[in-house]
Amino acid sequence: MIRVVDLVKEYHTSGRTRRILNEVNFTLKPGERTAVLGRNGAGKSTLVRLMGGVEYPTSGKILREMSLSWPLGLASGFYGYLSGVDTIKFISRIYQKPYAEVRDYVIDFSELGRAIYDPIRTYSSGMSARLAFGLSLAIDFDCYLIDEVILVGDQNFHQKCREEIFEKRGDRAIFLVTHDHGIIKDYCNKAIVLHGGRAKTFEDVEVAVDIYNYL
Amino acid sequence: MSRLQGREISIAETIQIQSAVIGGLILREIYSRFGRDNIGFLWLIVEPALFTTGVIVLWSLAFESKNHNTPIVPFLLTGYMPLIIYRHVVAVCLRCMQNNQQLLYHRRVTVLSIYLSKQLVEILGVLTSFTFCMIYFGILGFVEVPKFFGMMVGGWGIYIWYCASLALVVGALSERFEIVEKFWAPISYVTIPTTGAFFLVSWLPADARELLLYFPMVTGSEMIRGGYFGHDIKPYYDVTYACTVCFIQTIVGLFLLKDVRRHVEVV
Repeated sequence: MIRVVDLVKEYHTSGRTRRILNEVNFTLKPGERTAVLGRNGAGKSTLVRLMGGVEYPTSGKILREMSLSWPLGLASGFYGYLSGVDTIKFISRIYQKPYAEVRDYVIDFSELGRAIYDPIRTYSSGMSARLAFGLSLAIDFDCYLIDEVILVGDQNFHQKCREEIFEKRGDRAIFLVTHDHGIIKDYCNKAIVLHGGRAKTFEDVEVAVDIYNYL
Repeated sequence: MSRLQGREISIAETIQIQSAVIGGLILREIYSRFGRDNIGFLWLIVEPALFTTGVIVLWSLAFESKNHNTPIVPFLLTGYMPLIIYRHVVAVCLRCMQNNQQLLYHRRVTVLSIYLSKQLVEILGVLTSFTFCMIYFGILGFVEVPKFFGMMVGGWGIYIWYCASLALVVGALSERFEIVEKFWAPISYVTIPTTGAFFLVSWLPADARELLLYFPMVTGSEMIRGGYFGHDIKPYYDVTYACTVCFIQTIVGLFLLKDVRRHVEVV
């Protein structure tokens, strides 16, 4: 379970304070697939980064009682001058997973071929997305933090992601930032709508989508 | 593969995880800095050796083979190698969080693990280089076996402890105040006399000796030299004082580092 308690995040830009998240509360239970909805700038990506521990909250707490992936988005924490395999080596070392197994899985999943030996800065966004997804699946977390912008790949990659995350790993929790109503209605069983710094949880995703459209 | 667990972990587990993280970071540092082409990570060892050899050549031209009746080659090896540690170990820590934000995507990677891995790469590189140079110049007949090995190791220990803890303090401050990074280059240059690299304290007048022992690196380098030259020189050092300074500096550094994450705005 993951408990988000009274979460506040403020940014200080050019002398003024902007409160992006204002006392956000919710829980995420094992196996729950939560969609995060909100207009641009509502704080969706900020929330995901706070949950992943990339940034620290201004106040409030995030209690993590299951393992969380790093945020999978367009910026996936890769270092451009490191090659794909060296990145795999680094990630498998810090998460203490056998390198050979992780490498084989990622190479198979990402279909990067020889490009796996090239520096990541030469990759297209689709290629880094495939690498990031493959890696996080190989490490095997209880909960995945996903920004839908990462699903930039082609139809084939979409299909693969759906299979691996939503079907094969049915017991994992997912925290998904998305605008795709199809994905929400097909795969999510809970939704959080972010608006004006506040978060509201809906057990009925259809209702959440309707309210979101009304905002 | 077993799933990664998310739960409370013991101190023993934390140490085990953090050593894995530091191991991973060291490899990453080596790959990304030196690449996989040509001699790669060997640069880490070759670079200090080239530096030192260059300085040895220059000094040999200026002072012939002895300065103050002390042979130049071992004198510079025991002086310049520690100096490289002083300058590099601090330099790699300057704004290293601001410049390695992508690492913060992994919660296991802590600020301290990043700092320690950067420092370890430098320290291990210079120490390996030092060992190779001692052996190489030993074979050529310029260097003898150190007289008091223990004292030499102790000197290195104090010297490295001082530099590493100083790097924590300066690094943590540089994350907060950009200006620290700008000032470090001139400061590290002006403070070279406080490292004891290019003189023996015994060459100096009595009041200068007393003053210099306020700088822990002087204790370190005097012990390295005392360990190498044995009774041929008279080393001046104050281990208790140097260790006290290092200890306080370590505590202050760790304290400052604890707060660094809040000052790094990830973009």
